Amino acid sequence: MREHEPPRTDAWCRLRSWWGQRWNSISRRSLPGRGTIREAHTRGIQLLDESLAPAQRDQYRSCGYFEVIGGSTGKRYRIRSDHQLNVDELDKNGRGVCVLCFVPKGGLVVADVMLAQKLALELFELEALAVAHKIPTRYLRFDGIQL
Amino acid sequence: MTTEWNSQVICFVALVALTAALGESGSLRWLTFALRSKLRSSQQQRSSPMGVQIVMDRNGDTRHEFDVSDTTAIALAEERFKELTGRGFRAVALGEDGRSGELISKFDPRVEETLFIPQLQGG
Repeated sequence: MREHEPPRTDAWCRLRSWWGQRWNSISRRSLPGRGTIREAHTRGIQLLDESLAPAQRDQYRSCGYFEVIGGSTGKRYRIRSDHQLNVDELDKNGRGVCVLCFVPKGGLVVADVMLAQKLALELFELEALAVAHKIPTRYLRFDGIQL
Repeated sequence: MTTEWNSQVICFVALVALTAALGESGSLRWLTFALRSKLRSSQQQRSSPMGVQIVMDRNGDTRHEFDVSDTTAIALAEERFKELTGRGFRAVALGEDGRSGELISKFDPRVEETLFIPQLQGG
């Protein structure tokens, strides 16, 4: 053991072991249909990856979000990797104007939510905007972080 | 009788030895691989085009494949299409190479990949 490493107590080891067991039980929990939560996420990510345009795929891989052009209005949107409050409407300079919150029903995995949002904005934008809750970006500045 | 028996035993031993030798050198594996590949390619040539319906759900997605030359399979796929769209799902014919495709309201067996998106709600 190196000198600069803090000594590992029994309590610390027990805590780590307990957390590992909890994490495994959560991630391996079976869904009503088939497979585990982890497999559902993997499947969702695969479908999203297959369905993104090459430019969107590159942007998503490098930045964790991708941009979409609205099919009806031509506005730009940024879809971030999250379950909700993850769609930013952008102005012509690429800054967030407001945050849109709309999700598909059914408790889908994050990647499926993002894909549904992308296709909704590209193919039936007005319908998506009609159900979405809009929150101006100025209300979402926490601790100096601008969305 | 004895001569016939001996020749049969010799043939059997020779066959075992040949099989062992081929297996040892990897040739047998190569031979089976080649045969399987040929069989698979001939099956692919014979098989008719498949359509797939991808339904987004809690499992990530569920895929239902159907043979477009099979009328029963098409009828089942059409029934599934009507049932899902009736429940508020939006059907999207996926485009190639990440293009967004198009929204479809009527079942079309010629569409290779149809994605069903659950109804949207405000978050």
